[in-house]
Amino acid sequence: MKSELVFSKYYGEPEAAGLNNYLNNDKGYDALKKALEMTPEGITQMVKDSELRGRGGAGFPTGLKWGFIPKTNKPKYLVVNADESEPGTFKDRAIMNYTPHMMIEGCIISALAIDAHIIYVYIRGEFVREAEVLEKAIEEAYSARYLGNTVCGKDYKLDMVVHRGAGAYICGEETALLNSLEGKRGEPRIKPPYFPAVHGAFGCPTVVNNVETLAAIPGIVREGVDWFKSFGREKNTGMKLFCVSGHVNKPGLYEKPYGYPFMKLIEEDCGGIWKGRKLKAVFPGGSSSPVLTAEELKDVALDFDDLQAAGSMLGSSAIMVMDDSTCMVQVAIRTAYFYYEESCGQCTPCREGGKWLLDLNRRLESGNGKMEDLDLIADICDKIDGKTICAFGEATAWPLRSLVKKFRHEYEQHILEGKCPFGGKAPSWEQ
Amino acid sequence: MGTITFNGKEIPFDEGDNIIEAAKKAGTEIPHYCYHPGLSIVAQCRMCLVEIEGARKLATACSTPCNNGMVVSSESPTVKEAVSGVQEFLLLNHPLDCPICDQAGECSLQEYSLKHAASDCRTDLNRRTYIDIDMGPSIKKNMNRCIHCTRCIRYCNEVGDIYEMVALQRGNNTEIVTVDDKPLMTAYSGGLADVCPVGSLTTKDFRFSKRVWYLRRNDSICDGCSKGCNITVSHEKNLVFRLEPRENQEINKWWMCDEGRYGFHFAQSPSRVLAPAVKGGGSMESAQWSEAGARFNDLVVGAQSIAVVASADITNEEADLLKSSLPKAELYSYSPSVDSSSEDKALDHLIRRKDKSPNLKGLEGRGYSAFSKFNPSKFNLVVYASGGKVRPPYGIAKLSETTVGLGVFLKEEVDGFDVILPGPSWLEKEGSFTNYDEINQHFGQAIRPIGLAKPMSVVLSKYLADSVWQAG
Repeated sequence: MKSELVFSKYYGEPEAAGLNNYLNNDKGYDALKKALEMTPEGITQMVKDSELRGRGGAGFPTGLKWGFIPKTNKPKYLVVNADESEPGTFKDRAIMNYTPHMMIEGCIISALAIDAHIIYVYIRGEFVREAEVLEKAIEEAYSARYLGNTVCGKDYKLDMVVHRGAGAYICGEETALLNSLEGKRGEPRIKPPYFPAVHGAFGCPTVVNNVETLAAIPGIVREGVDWFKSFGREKNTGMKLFCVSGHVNKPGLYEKPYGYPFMKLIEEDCGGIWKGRKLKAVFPGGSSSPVLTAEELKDVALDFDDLQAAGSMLGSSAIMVMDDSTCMVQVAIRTAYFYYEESCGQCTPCREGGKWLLDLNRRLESGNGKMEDLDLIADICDKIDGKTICAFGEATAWPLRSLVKKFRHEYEQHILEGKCPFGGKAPSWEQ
Repeated sequence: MGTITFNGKEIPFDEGDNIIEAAKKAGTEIPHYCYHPGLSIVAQCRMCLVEIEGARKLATACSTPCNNGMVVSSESPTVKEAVSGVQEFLLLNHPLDCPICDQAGECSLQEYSLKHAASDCRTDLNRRTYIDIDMGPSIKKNMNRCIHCTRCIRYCNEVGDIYEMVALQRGNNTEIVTVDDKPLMTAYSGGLADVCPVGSLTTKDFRFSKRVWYLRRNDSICDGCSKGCNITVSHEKNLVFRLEPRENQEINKWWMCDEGRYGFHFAQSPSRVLAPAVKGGGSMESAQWSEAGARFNDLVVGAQSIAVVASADITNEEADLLKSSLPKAELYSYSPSVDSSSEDKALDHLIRRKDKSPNLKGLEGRGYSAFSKFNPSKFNLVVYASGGKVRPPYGIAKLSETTVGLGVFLKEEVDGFDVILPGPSWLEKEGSFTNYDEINQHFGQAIRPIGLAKPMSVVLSKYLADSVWQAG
């Protein structure tokens, strides 16, 4: 399988984040110069042809998203979703830390394609260092005249603003992000309108793209569509950052093409499961994705379509690995606690159901659960799933339902033994 | 205009209608909490979920506009299960203190629980509790009962026009509070109790005073200012307990101000004069109707010149009656805040007006002159007619030789009058008011006259001699 390091060349070398390194060693801003000679439609068509899919989680084709921008006189905005907060995900952070100019170049090209004159980077509040690095890089881009009143001498005013979030997971949802950006409460907007492309930031056409998606743009423009499509496979093209965490010998960020075999990543690249234990389960796309058992993972390849066929999703490609010493009820508590804590509280099912799921799982872990609780958990998940404004409801329901479905015997063991069979105490984050 | 298929039936809709409104016009109620026709749509209670043919997920009826040919179901098994799920979630943390809750009987949560929720309870976990902080003199909050529909927040922002209620915290811990725990400032705070679908916000005025299922309701018009808001009077056993706004898109939409809402208490004030009284010695003494009536007639017959001063809260019918029964009299209208309706103006963006009397326009139209033109020394009899809402000008009774009071008076105001003939307040009679916009609105009688009060028609026809009537 063809592979090349695009994003992760300089990981571990903070000094590589400067403009000089990017210009000298990575053909920096060559793509921008090429893009300036193209029409906006040409750029969009190129991205469409590359089959680049959004890397924030949903996998929506990027070129298609840009194509939704209507031709109006209203100002248009490009918003960079750098609110990376899906548990287990740390890819955008690395891009902003080590190759910020790659993202900035991608942003500028995208702004040209959609005719935006302001780029907002909505960065997660906890990313203090990343915001600093990014702001420094933006300053460099301004001094080098890639940003400002002209872009590389072309009469095109373009500004880039870093806006720091205040620490809410829900602000990674694009409409909640826009609300937060506008200074409102970070709550998702009702759909329709389905896409911010029509009614986005400040009521104007807006494209919201993930950091990694935008960082992939310069490569496509500079090296061409064919180069980009030579990685991965059909409809899942390009190199991708996979965030592996949990019970493996070498957790970390791995850059692989789409369609890379899952077991190969775990066994070869990550050095296998730690302490000689066996693989038990994996969240393949962050804690919002349904859990997959070792059995289901055997022949899975890491791309959007294959994981969907396996009953889960690639999501933000945060692979969380659990070995056979893991108590799945504790996993459920940890997951439920996160979604209870982070729910914005707008919709009834998510606000009330999340806490209910947490309480039931806590009671099961303590050994005081009842058999009917198991069906109740599945039923609560059904009543949250698809009934809410945004996808947060699904993100709560899917992992918890899959846990109780796939590890029902373990839940039952808790009830029958009246205690946790793994001897685990209640996790330490509990008050 | 177009039609949608709703639960298998073709129903028409008007341009801009959402599914809830279209269904309402066809006589079906889609359950909802957060949706209110007068407030912005947030679609967050998720109670109005319906199935739309061709849609991947259930949609909220409040946020989905009708499209011609749309096929909608609110009764499919999927919808029923989803709605009962939402209802169950809402009841999860609700204290179910209906026996001591003022909202019981007109509570959406209660109603929909009966209609849409499963009969059993599947939770035995602890319920969420909050500590409530006082919200000022108008509204009592009980956050434990709250279902987080945020109608109150939107009401304050969009109707009250003061951003003073907010959601604090988030998720399951969301708490609805006033900004910095300050008391409410809006002049429309009572409306919070109307928009709250549960017993979370109730008015302190009505709280614990009556179970709502005992109340009888009559339509009426507010007499608080020249706006003429449409209201519903709730009463039982001849006692009025509260006024609520009634929808009228031309005048008050769905709202009313606190001044109007709480302004009815004068009619049930312990100091209201409920029996006829005549001047005897130095002070007023109660008298029989026959005695007071005869005295009134004597004064009218003996008077050289008569002035009728009508406070601008009497009805148009009463004004006509005074005019025809005292044909010799000169007519004046009295409003406390303005001299004539030309001085009247809106006090804010919504309802309240400067003229604090309901019928100045009506009186002016009937030939009543402005109070500033009234010269008491010209007359030896002044007949002061009052509907009760407008307090008589201070010392009116001492300005001329003799003064007769007709209508609603308080004990502290009757000093100096020669005769008081108690009449009904606007709640106790039928009639019409003409508002600032010259809209003539008729209202019915809600309760019987209190005490020995008699309608003006009876007083004038029974006690005034025929010769007076015919003098003109």
